[in-house]
Amino acid sequence: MNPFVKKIENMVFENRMAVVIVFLIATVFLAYQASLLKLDAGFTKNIPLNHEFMQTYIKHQENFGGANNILVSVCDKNQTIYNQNFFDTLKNVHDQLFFIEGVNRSLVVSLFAPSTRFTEIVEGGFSGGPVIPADFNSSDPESLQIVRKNIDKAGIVGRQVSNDSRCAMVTAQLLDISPETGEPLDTLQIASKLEDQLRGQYENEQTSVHIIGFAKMIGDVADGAKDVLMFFAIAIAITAIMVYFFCKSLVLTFLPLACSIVAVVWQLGLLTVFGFGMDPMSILVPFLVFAIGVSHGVQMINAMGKKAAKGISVKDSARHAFSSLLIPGGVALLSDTIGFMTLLVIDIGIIKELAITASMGVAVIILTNLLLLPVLMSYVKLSDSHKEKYAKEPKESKFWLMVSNCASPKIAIGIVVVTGALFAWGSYQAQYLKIGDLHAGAPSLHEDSRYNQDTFLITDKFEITVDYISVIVEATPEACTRFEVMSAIDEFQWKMENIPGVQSGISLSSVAKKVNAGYNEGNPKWQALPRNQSTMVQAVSQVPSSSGLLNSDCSVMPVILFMEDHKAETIDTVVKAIKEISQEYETDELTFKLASGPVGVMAATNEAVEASQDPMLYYVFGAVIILCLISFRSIRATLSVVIPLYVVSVLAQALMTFLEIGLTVSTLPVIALGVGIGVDYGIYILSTMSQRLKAGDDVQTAYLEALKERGSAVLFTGITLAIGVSTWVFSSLKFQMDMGILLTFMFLVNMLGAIIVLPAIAFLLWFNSHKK
Amino acid sequence: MKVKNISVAAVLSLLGLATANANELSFIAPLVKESLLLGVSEGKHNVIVGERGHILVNQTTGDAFAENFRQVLSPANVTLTDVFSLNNFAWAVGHDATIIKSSDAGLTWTLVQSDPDLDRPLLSVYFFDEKEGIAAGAYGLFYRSTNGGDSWVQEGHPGMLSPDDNDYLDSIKDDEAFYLEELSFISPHLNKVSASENTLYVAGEAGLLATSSDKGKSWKRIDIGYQGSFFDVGILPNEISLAVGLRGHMFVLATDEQLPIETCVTTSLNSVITSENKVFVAGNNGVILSIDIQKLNEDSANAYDTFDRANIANCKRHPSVSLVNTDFSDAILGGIISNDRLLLVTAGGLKTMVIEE
Repeated sequence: MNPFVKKIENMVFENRMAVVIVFLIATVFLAYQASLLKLDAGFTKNIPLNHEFMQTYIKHQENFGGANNILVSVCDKNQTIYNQNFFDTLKNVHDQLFFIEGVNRSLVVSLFAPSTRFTEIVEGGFSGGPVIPADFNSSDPESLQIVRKNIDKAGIVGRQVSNDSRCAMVTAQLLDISPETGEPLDTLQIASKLEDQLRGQYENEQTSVHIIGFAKMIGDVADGAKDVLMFFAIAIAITAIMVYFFCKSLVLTFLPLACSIVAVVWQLGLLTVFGFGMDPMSILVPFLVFAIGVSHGVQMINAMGKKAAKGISVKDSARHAFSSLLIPGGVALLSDTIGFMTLLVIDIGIIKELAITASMGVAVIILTNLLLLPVLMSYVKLSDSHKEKYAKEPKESKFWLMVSNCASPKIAIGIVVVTGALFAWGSYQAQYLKIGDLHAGAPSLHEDSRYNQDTFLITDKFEITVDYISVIVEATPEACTRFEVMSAIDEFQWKMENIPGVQSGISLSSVAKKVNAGYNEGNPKWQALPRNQSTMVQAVSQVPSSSGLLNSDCSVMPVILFMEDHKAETIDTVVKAIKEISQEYETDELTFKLASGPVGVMAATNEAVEASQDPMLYYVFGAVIILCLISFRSIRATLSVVIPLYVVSVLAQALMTFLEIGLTVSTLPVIALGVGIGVDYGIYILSTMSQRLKAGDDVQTAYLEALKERGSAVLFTGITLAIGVSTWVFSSLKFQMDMGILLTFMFLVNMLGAIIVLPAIAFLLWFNSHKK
Repeated sequence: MKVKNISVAAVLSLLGLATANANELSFIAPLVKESLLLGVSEGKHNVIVGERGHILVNQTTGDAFAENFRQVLSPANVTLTDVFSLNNFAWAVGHDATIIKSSDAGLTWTLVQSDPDLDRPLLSVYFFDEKEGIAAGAYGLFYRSTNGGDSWVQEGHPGMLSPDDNDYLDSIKDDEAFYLEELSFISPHLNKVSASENTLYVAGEAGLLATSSDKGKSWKRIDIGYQGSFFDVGILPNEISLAVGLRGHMFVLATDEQLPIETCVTTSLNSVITSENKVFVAGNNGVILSIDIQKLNEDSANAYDTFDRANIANCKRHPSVSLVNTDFSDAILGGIISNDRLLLVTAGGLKTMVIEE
């Protein structure tokens, strides 16, 4: 036995009480910390801030607002909006939204905003005013008729009033930093205010309130995430029952679960200690930590139980389990930890957080399940029924004898051929794995969720959505007075509007053309950009910089393109077209920069996710390979572990293609996490096998021994955890449902990979050993 | 679709089939039928023109279904405002005093005139025969061609001006250069030129309505007592002429008197659309009025409040006028009647409406 392990074993087991007390104190402290943990969501966390597009976004955020929009559509359920109740409600909603902390008050727009004005052409010039006049009285039908006419004149049907005149829109933008506290905005608090103060207060039999935007979406995800606790409880209960059937001992059921829960508590506590919160999107990480903990815990009780059944004292059995599993378990957990840490290279805040959360969680399992668990086990008194279970070896070994045929010549070759075919099919499917969101609405939520229903309603009734991209046109000061610049912007916009997926566009140029027609008695024949500079100035000066179409010296003018949806393909087509078409118009003094607006952010995120996909896999597998090489000191052993893992991760991508789950910020880490889950099985099996192989056994014999020693624990863990996560398909979050499917797949198929494919590959690699 | 069209354009220009200035060819756009369209002409092929030099032609002659129109290559990328077809010829005009011509009824076009420095749009074009025609536009801009539109000569027409302006011009007549400069500044926009059998009409800015009986060489202003702009004079089947303009104003132009017709709409009326037995008037905000010719001459003495737009709520429409219910909201610039359909060119593109009896 490794002298180093022996040394640690002595140290730990000679001070058992001390170890338990230290853990107890740490757990109490961290449990307290964990109780302080807050759900924490932020818009910028989801953004690759160093991406080229986002640099443009940040640069111009002050002038043109961000992409963190809130759209509130107030609808009358029974009639058109022109009634007293509706206008009173709309005014209240406008005021309420205006006063929510964190709302950029200068950008709250609705019929009641002073910036909502109309103009009309009369003999000899313009006439105009606010759409809702100062003397507006909602109880006077004539007053409502005036507003109705003003709305027509203002041309805001489709933007502020729905096409069917049953809804009106209030829009706002959120700041990043709260102006009152100077702290980053508490998005979840805003979400709950939107729900309580707007919908809660104003939705009734007559009026419905539809709210969309990032803050509302993440709020709904966080609400759904509360169910996650229930699903965790279910998963823990299922695991507990299964573990009991596995070991027939209440105490041995309790200990690995308790140690795994301790690991979760430590992880959550450490998050608070290091100043992080829990993002709703990372909510499944604690469960992963629990699952990985259980996987190692079961190995531990299995190793001990087997020894104890042979009549060895519980304490010595525990010591034995400790020393025999410290290396393989440690290697597996260390490669998980390092693998998860590599996610830090992805430059998106939320993935970095996930990397820290997950790697911290896995690292603490080394302490709780490889160290604390055997120490606690050494205090246990085992009943006879437990010992009996392990005495029933003959029946079990018959099964293992059959399974060990995986390492027999014919079957091994068959398995490798089938695996190869699966790999080929998986790789083929995986190329069709889409980046980004594949469906309209918020992909984290079910299609029939309130949020997505609201999204569909707003997209249906209005011509605007939250799905827009702003191309920022940068030019010289006063550029908007120059025909060439304005005309270039105009032509760019027209060509973009002709790209499939673009619904409509707006820019200073397109507005200036309409203003120019306005100056010519509203005659559309004059709806063109004037060459004459002073005429151009006259047209442009009608557009205030609060419109978001120009900055104060009009050196920067965005072209806003409204899109049909934010599916990955749509974004891709549009971004490609922007890059291509803008080249036709770019000069030294005129550049078209991508991008702002929610879809601009998504485009950047999609590009960042796509760019991270391969490096992430290289790093995760790199970490696994290096640690396997160090611990097994064998290329063949390493290959036997890594090849099945890799095949499974490719198959997982194929499954994502098949289930139409796009690769996004929230699903990107799943493959890496899956590798972390899967590597345990292989390492446990192979660590026994490689000792046997070194001792001179042929592959099949070595494998049979490994199965007898570790097989039941591997098989058991895979099935148990798969059952646990499969309950997630009933989750109210689409995101959790997707994860449930993917993780079930990972747990099961990685287990099968370790039991079926690993020995077959090992058989082929150690080809010369069975000639003996 | 788009790629295919561009490549067709590229092939055409490679083969030298496209018109002279390949660089000016307008972009063949999938959304062209939803873009700002401003003028339409009836002829062997029906031709529609609009912003960015867009030209649409119906490929099969005769019918006017929106789906039969296709974009053809244009030698100009400026906004085209009006088009006129006659036999195998068609002419279109637009911003930058642009004039383009087609000798195959609208399928291919050549650029005849473009003057960006002038910075004035032409707004209307009319041909008396295959040789002689006129083009008119902003600030009294007026051109005549006598060679089928191959070359154009500018003309000034003080006859269209109000008596006051004419008095002023008379006073500076001696300094010819100054006279011409002033004429080009005080002249009103000429929005539309149209003709009955013997009379040429111009509808223009600030109450301008004028007639000519010598192909537009001399003009006589009609004193209508209204200072708002007119956008079209339509010649009805029974040779009645109908002037339409700003804020729903409409007048029947008779030899000695002008009869105001109360429409009870407040948006600009842009165009009179006629066929053998139907008359429609179309305007901004998707307004379409149906005109009953038989009732046009009915007594209007019962005090139609033609000039009080503020009191529109209590307005009584003239018996000849009825408002057609449509779901259009864009400004309608013109149209043609084909069988039971009305094909309209609007600020939001090409629209079709079935005419209900």
